[in-house]
Amino acid sequence: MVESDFDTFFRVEALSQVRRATLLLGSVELAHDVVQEAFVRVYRRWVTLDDPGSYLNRTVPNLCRDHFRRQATARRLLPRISAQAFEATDEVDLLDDVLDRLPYNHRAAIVLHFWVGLSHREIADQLDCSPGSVGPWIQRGLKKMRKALA
Amino acid sequence: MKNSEALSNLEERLTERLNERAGVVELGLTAEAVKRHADDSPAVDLATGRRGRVAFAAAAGLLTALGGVALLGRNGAATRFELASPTTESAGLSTTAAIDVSAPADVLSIVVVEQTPERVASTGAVFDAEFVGRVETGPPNDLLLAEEPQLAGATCVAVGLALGCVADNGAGGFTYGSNEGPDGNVVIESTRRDVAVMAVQGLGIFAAGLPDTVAQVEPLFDDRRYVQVPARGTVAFPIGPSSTFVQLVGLDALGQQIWGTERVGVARTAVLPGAENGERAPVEGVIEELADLLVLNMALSWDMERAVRALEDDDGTAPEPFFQENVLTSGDHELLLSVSVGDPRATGGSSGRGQPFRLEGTARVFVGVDGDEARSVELFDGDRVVYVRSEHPEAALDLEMLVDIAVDVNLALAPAG
Repeated sequence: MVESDFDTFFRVEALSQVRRATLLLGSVELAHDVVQEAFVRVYRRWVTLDDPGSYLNRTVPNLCRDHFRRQATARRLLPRISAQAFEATDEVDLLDDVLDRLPYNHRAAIVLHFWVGLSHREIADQLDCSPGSVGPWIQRGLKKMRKALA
Repeated sequence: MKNSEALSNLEERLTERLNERAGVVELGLTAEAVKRHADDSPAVDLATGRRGRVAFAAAAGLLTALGGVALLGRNGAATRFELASPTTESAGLSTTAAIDVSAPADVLSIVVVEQTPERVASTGAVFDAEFVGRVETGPPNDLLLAEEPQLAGATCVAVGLALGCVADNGAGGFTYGSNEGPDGNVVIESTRRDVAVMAVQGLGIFAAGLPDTVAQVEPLFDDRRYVQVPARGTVAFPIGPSSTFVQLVGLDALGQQIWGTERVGVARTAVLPGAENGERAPVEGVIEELADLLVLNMALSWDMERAVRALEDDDGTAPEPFFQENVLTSGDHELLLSVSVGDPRATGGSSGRGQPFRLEGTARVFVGVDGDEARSVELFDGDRVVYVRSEHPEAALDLEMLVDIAVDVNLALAPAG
């Protein structure tokens, strides 16, 4: 019973979570890794989680953020590795490129607001920050995008 | 798509593009793969982090009983390690601390390893695979540890990192530790307050086991005092023998921004108001205020260099009305920022100044001109006055930027919710 409940939950949530993670990370492959890890955590806690959907919604952005931190760590600790190793290699839409260069918080707030359609409070819940931070992140992100596109 | 196209209706275009981008993504996962992965992973209780706490207790006991150096030396034969601290480079060698993951689950063991640059580069990819990379180590160099206090600092951080890693199975918790700062102090940053606190504790325990090297980090623990600000996940502690400085580290939500803006490892040090003459500073009394400074610091693209002055009551708490001046810098540009709360001008005193330069919600922003080069903006929001002044020939002319800073400061100080 538990197994089939989890399977149903996975079917309902998985694709949208991968898409969300793709927008947050800029990479479909990384998004799959992150979402798999998030579902692993859900699966392990399945019997104790009251609201697995909410847990998943917080875990995916957190894991994406962790990825950005690892990238920053790698850049700092391993300067010999070409910066190109961390850049997207595909040709991307101009907006994608600008969006992908934003700091993670700005980018995550923008994606969750403009694509998922969440309120500032809901975004704050998923990004584990204060609601007061979300608006400035979005505004600053948009400002940087405009500047980059100008 | 052309720039002009993207610029017009940016928000609308952005939404469209996000939809396009997400729409082509197909699912490459299965529930079965998730279950298989879950079953194959190490049996760490992720829900409670129990193994992490057990490891911490065991490590504390071992370190106390054996001494740090002895412990390091005893684990040289292990073959699997997880990188646990920033790499420091000296004379062509990269040195780092690593956790022995081959050790029994209830034992935390750490080694210090040396690597050639080529070796570090060759293992670089693992950073993307795990929170910390697995590296094959050279021989542990405990001699180097004893002779190099900074390395001891890195290893101290490794203790904290290890706790964070184990508790979170390498996916959350600790983000960074370094031995930056004056007097060889170790700076710890964590996205989680509890992990940061554990790391500080681990640091103290570890330092106690290293009598030959503790002198470099002892000022941190001279009175075993650090202050936590639970609401922000901050750990703060006085540094330096006179304790006239406080270092704030480990903001949870704001820690994200540290990384996002590449300000990795830059811990903020603020001079405690009233402590410039060497008197011992009232740390607890102003800690909230310093935390606010840090909030501002992270919210702005400018660096909050120092608090110039602030009014405070005898007990060190912020009085009403409260007034504080700070200096912001960006390159060679310097701004003066002051914030006052309880100022009667905030509610009505801005009258008589003519038309505001800009309205930001209910706040009014006025521009002041002082001579040929100095410009200031003053934001009145009914609760506080935020004043930003520049005497820099370029920055002063960028009124929009000055206004943006005032608005950002005001937003950052606004109560959450």
